[in-house]
Amino acid sequence: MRFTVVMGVSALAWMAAGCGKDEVRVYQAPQDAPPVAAANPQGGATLTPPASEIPRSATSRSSSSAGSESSASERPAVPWTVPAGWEEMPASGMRVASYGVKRPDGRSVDISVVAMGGGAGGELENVNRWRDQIGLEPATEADLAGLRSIIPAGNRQVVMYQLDGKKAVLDGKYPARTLAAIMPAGEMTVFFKITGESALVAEQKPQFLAWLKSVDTGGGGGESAPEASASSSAPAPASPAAVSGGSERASGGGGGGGGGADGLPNWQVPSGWKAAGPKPMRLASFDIPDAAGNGDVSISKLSGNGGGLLANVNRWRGQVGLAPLEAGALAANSKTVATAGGDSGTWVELVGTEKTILGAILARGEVSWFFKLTAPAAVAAQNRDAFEQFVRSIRF
Amino acid sequence: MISKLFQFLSSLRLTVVLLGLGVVVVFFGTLGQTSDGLYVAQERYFRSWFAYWTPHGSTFPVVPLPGGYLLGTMLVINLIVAHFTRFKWTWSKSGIFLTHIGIILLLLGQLATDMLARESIMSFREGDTRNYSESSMDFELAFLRSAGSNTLDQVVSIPASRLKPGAELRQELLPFAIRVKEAYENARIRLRAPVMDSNRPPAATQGVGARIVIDEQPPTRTMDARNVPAAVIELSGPSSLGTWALSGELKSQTVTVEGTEWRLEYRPVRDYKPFALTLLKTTHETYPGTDIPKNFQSRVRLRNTESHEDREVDIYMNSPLRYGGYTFFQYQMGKEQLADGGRGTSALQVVLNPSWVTPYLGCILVGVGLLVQFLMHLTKFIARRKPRAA
Repeated sequence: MRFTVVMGVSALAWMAAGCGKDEVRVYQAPQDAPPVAAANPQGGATLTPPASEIPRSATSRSSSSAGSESSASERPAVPWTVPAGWEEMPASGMRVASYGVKRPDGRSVDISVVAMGGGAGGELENVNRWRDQIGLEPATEADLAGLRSIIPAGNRQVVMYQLDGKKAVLDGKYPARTLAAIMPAGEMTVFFKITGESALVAEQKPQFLAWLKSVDTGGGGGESAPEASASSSAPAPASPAAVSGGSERASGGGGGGGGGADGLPNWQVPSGWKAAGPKPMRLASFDIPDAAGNGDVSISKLSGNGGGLLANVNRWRGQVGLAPLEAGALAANSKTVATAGGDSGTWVELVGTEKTILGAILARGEVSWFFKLTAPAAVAAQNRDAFEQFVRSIRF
Repeated sequence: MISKLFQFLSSLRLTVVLLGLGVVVVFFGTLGQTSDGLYVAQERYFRSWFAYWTPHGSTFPVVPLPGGYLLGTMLVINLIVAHFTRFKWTWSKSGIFLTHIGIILLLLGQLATDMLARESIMSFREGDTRNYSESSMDFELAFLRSAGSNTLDQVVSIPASRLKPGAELRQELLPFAIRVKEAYENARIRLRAPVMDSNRPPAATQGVGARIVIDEQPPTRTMDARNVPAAVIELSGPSSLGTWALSGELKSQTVTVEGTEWRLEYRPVRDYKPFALTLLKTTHETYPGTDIPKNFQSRVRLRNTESHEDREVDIYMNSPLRYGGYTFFQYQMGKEQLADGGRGTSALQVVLNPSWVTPYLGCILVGVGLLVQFLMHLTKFIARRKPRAA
């Protein structure tokens, strides 16, 4: 009898294992603390200022070139020192900056800065395109090592190719030479290139190298900066970090203010966004911290139409693994977005398998503004409305 | 008849068969783990009364097996019945008794662990304070509203296992009924693409669900990934409140009913503690020149307002924090991937096991029992040899 009771109790207890997991629980719990507390190096806790309270941008160090100074009132300073004798040229197409050197005898060189998304087709493809431009046969992957040298650019080391043309491709009289440096910068690749009459390029080579060395790649110090924080090769008000005075703080109420003084429009920063440090090619950046993967918001601008609306949308589509659109298909895949300042632009939602890009492209006069959110699919879905509100709040 | 039953239940033959079957279940459970993963295999082969093994990729049950619960129960019964029927208490068998009590304690201790032990994860960033840990496997649908103060929430938590398509759930605190329309064990959400999804309606009519679609994914069984469940529910109060998409990937959504704001969160099941830990500093040291971890260490501040405790503790490998019945082990360490470098992050494995002492006691009893029995035989043996030697 005794053991029957013991057995019965243990069997019941045993069978009860696993029960209770399906019950609805009702309880009171402390509210979650807002996720803004950050430990300071001294060990205490401080509050991270909201993104809207961090200075968004400021004038970077100014150019020494006469050309730059002449247009300083409208054109923001560039993050490099332009060598004496280089004449600023209008940037067009995908170029973010353009310079030229001319000689009375008709010889000239063309210096350009081009930024492209991702690897921009790969090193071999670009080198062969440049070789073709100066009448050289295509190189193979194995040839690249012999053409390549490593040079300093800012506080980083980058790859440079020297391509010496043999044929007289310039006016049928002069052979051409190209020097091109390739700087990977986050999700972009920036190309610094000088091309033109062979002897004149050789003459300008020291200036070209000094120019590259002067590029503000951010990070400070002599150490090699991590790629993600390298900045900045755009002729734009470089970065919030490259402050040399004159910055305006965003006004209260979530991030307006600052408009005009730093070249940036006013906007309302959604809660939870965190102003990010300097990044190449960007005027401002925000992180959207999320356990599922951070979202990234970038604001940049390019001269003209920045290479074209469709080209940019297709570049973004490529970044999330979507096939490019035909010219006529853009309208069906985009909508118009209007901002508080009365501007209107093109709004796209590019949903890839893993990543999603939300973007707004605003054409204003001679520049195009790019507002882009890149995030894992779920984070983008969660922040879609906030991003649209951000874009709609823009006032130039 | 009854005596025959007792004879069967107390037989040594049954013990041997049960132990043999235990080996077989462990073997097939280990095989099953390759396709089912650790947690599913545990549930299927060891936390069950009956099980069957199927080859990978097949659904046909090939090998029927007794489950872990059945074997454990039968072993306990076998041992207890044997003591009541076959064993007679004498001092000369005290070692065997002690050993058997130790084995029973081990078996019952395992049952208690299975019933009462809870494992969860407390993950935070430097500067964050946590007074709860989260399940690494189970999700809950939590409805939260302010409890009338600025610091407390009233929470109604419904386990994800209750969200079955077609189910209707009511709770007296909730001013609405919950009708489950869809439920997924593992799913990803994404924005509804403008053209690609033109023939596909949004996942729900309200909240972020109106802009997203839910893509069902095959359940994952690997140790380094976990399922993210999703569901679509309809809320109906005095009037229809529309359909809502839930996903472990989504943060909270808000629905207002009769002037009260309720937040919906589909989140890992939370276990609140009566104390809080603040992560002060993470230390991640590697052996020079390698990525091999040398030391993961979290410095936390432990605060308990009831006992007025406020102290700092270092938690690192092989040096857990034991407090309030919980054991906090250093589990993972990382860093926020933000442009400014981000803060260090740490995850602590939180184990609550009220019966943690039973395996130790059981093993001590088994050891002592064997020692006693051995010494008794030894002394008898020596005593028998002495007269012969004399």
